[in-house]
Amino acid sequence: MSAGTIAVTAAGLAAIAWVNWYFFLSSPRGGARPAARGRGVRR
Amino acid sequence: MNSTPSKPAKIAPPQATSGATLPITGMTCASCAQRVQRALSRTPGVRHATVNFATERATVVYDSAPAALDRMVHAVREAGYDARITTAHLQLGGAEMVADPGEVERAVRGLPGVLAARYRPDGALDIDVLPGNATVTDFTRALESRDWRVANRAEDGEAAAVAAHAAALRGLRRRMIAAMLLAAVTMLVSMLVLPASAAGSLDLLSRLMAPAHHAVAVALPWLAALPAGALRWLLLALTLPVVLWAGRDFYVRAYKAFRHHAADMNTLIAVGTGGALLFSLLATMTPGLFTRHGMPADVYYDAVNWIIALILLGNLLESRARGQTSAAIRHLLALRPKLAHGVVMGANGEETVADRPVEDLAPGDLVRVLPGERLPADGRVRAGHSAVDESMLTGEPLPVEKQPGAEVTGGTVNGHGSLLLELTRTGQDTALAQIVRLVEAAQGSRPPIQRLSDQVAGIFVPVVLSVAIATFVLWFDFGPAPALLWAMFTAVAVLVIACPCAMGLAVPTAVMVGTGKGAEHGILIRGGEALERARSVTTVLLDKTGTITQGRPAIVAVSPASGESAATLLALAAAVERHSEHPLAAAVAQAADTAGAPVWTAQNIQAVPGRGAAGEVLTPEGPRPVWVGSAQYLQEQGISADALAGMALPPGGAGRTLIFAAAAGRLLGVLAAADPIKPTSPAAVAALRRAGLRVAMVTGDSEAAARAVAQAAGIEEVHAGVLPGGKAEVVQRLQREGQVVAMVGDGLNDAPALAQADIGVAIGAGADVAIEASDITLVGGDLGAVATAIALSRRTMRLIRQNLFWAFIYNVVGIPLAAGLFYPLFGVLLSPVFASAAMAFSSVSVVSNSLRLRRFRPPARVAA
Repeated sequence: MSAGTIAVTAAGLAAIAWVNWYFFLSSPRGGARPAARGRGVRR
Repeated sequence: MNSTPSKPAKIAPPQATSGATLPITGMTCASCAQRVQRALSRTPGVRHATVNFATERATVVYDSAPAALDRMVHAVREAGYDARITTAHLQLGGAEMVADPGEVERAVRGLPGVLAARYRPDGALDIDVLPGNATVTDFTRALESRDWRVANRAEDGEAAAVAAHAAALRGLRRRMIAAMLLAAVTMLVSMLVLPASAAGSLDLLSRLMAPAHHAVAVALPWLAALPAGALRWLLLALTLPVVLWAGRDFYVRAYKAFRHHAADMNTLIAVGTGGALLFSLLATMTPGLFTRHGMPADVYYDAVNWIIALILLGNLLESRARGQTSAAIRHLLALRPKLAHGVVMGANGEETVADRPVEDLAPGDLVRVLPGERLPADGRVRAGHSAVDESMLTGEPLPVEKQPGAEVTGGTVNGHGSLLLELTRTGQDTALAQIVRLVEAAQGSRPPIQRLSDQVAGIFVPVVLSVAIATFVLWFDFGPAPALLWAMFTAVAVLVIACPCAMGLAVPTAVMVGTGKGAEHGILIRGGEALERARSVTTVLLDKTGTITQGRPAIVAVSPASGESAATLLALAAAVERHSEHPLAAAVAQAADTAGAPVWTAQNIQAVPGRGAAGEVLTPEGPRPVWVGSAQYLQEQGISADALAGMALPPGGAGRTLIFAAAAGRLLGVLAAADPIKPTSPAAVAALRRAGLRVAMVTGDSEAAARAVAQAAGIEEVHAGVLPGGKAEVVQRLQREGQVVAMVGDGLNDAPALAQADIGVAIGAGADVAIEASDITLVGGDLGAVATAIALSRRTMRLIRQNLFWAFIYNVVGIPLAAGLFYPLFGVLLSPVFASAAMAFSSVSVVSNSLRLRRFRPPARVAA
């Protein structure tokens, strides 16, 4: 395994981790969840 | 807590709340709507926000505070979208009377949707307002209530909204066409840059393009003569306008979404094309970097251009489709006339007529409606007779006779007579406006199935980004040389194919077309939830009176005593009954009119409530004293019981009311009244049966009377003798048997049963129906619409499932293909260009699949 391969692999894994952290965990309201719905209770 | 908790105390907010609608522009798919909704919900002071992608509107409830609306508009813009603001221009007369300009501005600033007002000393008042809220009429009223006169004004309402939509569409089309042309030219030039050895290339597209490369080289030798370096710079020049101008919105929105820790289709487009662009830029500026390592300095400008051009095309088609699906609403709005003939009554009863815009009308105003004109608003007939065509509202093809005192509805068409109306409801309060609002609300509402696609869309983008990075790493580590190039190529393809737009479109387009189609057939569906539930109905429970029957008695048989003619019997009875407002009396009068009996007048009328009436009828032969009423009433008037019992009763069963008539102590004959079934009912019941539904009838009437009606309508299962409250129990009993019950009733006395049922269907004539209590409202009285509604629900849900399949299959197949998963096995790859075409195609196929619903036909009419 070349140094380049290792570097890209490590950077890729870090990027994946960061993407998931940024969009799912760090979001002000707990991530990209669909907005809560007001309806749904029947009369 | 007390046993009677005070409801207002629980609900009342600490501050006063206001409501407003914001027209949102720039939304391209359902996930955009979700983002705007989230941005608005997070704005301080906003209590509740819903965004309707279909109508491109946000409905917001917020704490009343200065600048609250400004903050919301700011939040929408921050999220990468825009709120459309229009400016109303008013000119105040008597401007010298205005001491403080701020006073004028404050007078209008408190009105719903007003962002700012500017008053100039020359009397001009400009008001920035969110369309769909306060109108010029509201401003005029607010100003005039303070004794400022509005001299003239420029209208800026619905027409402006249509114009804005058209302008946006034109702009989009311009950018799409430009991007398409540039993409085509770029592709042509790119062929010359492709290595001559492309035949050995890994990419399917490159292999296909190899012959084209030679063709272009032969056709345009001067272009082919240019060095590759120069061609690359030429390609860059062709690409920059597409990226910076045509596709600019994608990048702006992607950036704004990113700042809010959100990702959507714009993120994918921006990252995908951005990656391809940066890679190509590097190859253009420093081709040596690539060639030194034995890699061709390939550029992907054509891919960037095609992706943007095709996505713009998808957006354009979607916008158009959305315009088409809301055609139902526009159709309803078009029913409202623009001008009304306002009438001012002089002291001597003479009329002064002046034309006024309908927006200016207020309850209590008098208007004159000439033959053939549409009625401007809801009201009551003050003078005149005419037959009014109410088919647009009720579906009833026959015009309805209107006399003084009759209620009329705006948008219906006046027949041959001229009517003077006193308006009772105008503007946003009319039945027509209510129907439009209901349809609008339903078209954008989300059925439960939508939650699935919302959830998927919410997590989809980060997952796709992860897959793209993993693809890059795997190709870099294990792919063929040049590894960096292929890693780049496949990662970009993954990002492009993964756009979840088709997934976001799958449900809303179908609901939009479905509810719009329903409205066309007089079926108002309360929302996506009702639409979804109606599909699973197994039992339809029909109320008898007013649902299966006409709900008002009619004379079904006339039996004159020997020596009397039917015409005379009817004429004499009707002369007396015309003075009564009892439904039976109205039935007698109508029967006389229908039979063409002579019209005589009566005097000295004496009515005995619940029994009958007596009077002196002025016949051509002279006055005759006449009694009309129940057997008991006539016995009291000295008619022998034997004579009454001996009347040759017209054939017929239970459920009939007999009306006897006598003149001068002699029996004239007997009339039988009954509530006849609607002519459409048997066919409607048959249509429900054909749809595989169990049909039952519920009524408070006696078993015998109920059976007679049920038999005529073709119903076998009868629940008779049920009290109004007991109808809900019948529904419950059926539900316990495992049935999904649709209850059809007139919406007033059946309210508990309608609420208990899985689907409450209110049937009746538009304006007076308790729409609020039902899931589905049938505007016309035709029971056949029940079968139509259920069929429509089934069709729509089937369509939604198809749409979700189509949207998913593109991603399910496309992503692994783009990632190169099949490359080691079959040598198949997906170029980013193909990926963008497939993505646009998925959006188009979902939208056009939904539009197939426009060909929906009601099952009852198909069978007829």
